Amino acid sequence: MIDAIVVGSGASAVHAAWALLHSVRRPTRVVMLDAGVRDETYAPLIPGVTWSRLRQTDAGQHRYLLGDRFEGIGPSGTRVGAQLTPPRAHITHLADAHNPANLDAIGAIQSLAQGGLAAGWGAGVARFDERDMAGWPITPVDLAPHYDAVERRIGVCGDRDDLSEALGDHAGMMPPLALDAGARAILRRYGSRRTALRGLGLRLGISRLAACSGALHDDHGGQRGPHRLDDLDFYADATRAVYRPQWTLEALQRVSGFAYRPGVLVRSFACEPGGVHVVARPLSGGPDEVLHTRAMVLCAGVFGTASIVLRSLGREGDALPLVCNPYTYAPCLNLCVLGEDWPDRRHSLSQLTGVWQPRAHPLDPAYPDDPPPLHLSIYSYRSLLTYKLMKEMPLGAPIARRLARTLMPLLAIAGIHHADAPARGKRIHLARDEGGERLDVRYDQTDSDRLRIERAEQGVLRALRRLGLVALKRVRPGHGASIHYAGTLPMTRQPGPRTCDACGRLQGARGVYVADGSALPSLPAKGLTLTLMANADRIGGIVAQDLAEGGSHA
Amino acid sequence: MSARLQHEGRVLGRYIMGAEPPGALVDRYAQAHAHLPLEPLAGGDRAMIEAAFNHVWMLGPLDAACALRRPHCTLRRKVMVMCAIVEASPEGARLFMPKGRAGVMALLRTFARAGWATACRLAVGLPLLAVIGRRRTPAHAAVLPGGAA
Repeated sequence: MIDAIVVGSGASAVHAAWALLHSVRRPTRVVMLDAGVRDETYAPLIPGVTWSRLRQTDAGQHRYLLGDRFEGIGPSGTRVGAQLTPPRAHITHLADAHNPANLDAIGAIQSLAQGGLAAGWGAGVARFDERDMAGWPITPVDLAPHYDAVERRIGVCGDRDDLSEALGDHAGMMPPLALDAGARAILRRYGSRRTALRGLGLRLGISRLAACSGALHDDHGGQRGPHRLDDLDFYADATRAVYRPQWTLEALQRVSGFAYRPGVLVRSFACEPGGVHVVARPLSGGPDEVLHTRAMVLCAGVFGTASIVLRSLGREGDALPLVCNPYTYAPCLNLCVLGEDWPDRRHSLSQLTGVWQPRAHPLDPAYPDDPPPLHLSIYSYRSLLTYKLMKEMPLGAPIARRLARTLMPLLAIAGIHHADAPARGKRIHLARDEGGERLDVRYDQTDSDRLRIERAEQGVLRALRRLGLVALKRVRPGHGASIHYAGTLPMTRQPGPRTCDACGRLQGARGVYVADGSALPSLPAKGLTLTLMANADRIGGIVAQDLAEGGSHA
Repeated sequence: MSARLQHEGRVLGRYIMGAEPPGALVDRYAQAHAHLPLEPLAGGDRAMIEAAFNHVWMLGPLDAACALRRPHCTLRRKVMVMCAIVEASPEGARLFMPKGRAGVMALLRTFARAGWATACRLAVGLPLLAVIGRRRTPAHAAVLPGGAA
């Protein structure tokens, strides 16, 4: 019999598996079941030169910039996942076909890719603190050793600057990646107006990224980085400097006792004496396969895990809570960079991170007494195609082209994340009708949510203006555009239906653990991926311990 | 490969690049029509495409007017697809890559030129759009150079 089945290969899955296989009393047989969709087409076509060199020399660039089916051109208007270039588009490939979901209400996406949604994540990292985890059954102290372990495993770079007050420190933090001209100019302006900007509630610093500015060696002979500053982060992973779950998966495949089974989709489970039987469906068709295991760790992504649990427990129609970070982005003119030269060597990820603490509005009962801080990431617009900007301009093509070329060095994109907590109108459920089975999402913001978001954004844009960043407009591409989802099977102190305990054990399903975002009860305004990995690392260790103690949980 | 699409590709290539586009880019433009929704649905859309590609001088003013008034119309989509195709080639990339540095004077000059050029094109394009975009050409009546695909 298999000791543990891990479902999925995303950020949570690989770290849960890693912890299982590296615990003191490790199980002997761990199997990872995964759809495992990969890009076999475009990655090999991308030459190992910088973005600007590639643009001037590679006659085959249209294949990976536009796609063989022109999928990189896409429809007009803003859409979730628009930042997915053809080499990253496999991340959402087949997901809707195999896991039908009506996610349009929030503009969410799901993934069946090897590495899951984190195969294309922005690599921003932040630890959750006491306030972020208020109401959770675990505390930052419980997560601290797992944050340390994961940070050393994935490689984190950043600086000890004004962000340290709000974001703390990271284990083994490497020096930051070099900033580009735009970000350097903003940081210079921040330095010269620091007192005033801090008075407005803004702290700014170099983004902490899961990326290697130097070489990082793992325990299994692999090496990642250093980052080549080739500005190709939206297209390629040439030196693997930016962390993707696939790198951990490759290391896992060199560990004895681990087996990776791509090409299957877990449909359901049933608990039985001594373990769990798991039903998996081959993506290529054919009959379902049944596997027996002592424990199952669900890391299929929030929507995938919810479908599996509701289907397995026969609770179609039951509503599960959902939280996701509302997201807004604001293209800004960066006036600080006027007249500066842009060197060729840069990275495409978030350059700067801001933490903005809104003020309370004591006379407004709809506004919280102690509003949560808001996080923003600042990007430059360099390694995406210029025509995407031209599309948004109300100008004829030749004029738009000339204007876009001039404005691009001045363009900064501020991405703003807001905190989210469960509420009555934020729900998902599995619906079944003549068309088959489908996950339906409902996400209605409350008036107080809307007010908080509007006020916070006005405040942060005011602070950005003081920084020399003039917002051209605000774009709200859909509540789910943050691609940060959580809270469907939350960890709680009191056991209840469709919840987990603090150890990720699913209530009423002996041997089944939830180790992905589903278990996080709420989301602060920070990126959640580092916490997903740390929590999965923690739960992986708990599963190993439960197995060693003679079985799985009661 | 349709002669109509080849003609459109050449016209759009000249419009965007200011010179005769390489044959490979024109072929790629024609191929894009097999994968993207680029065929006109409404009569007005069809009439605009007919006008822009039969009377090439109308393309610039109509594009400027559509960018302002009908950013999602078929003509505008075709222009943007050709922009993407030209940009994703070594020959065209230099026309789209950002300028190394943007000074205040260069910025003001670019804004002034863009404003003047846009005003001129809109002065012609908006009346054209008002007349042509309102036409109700039946779907089967459109005849474009080189015939249908």
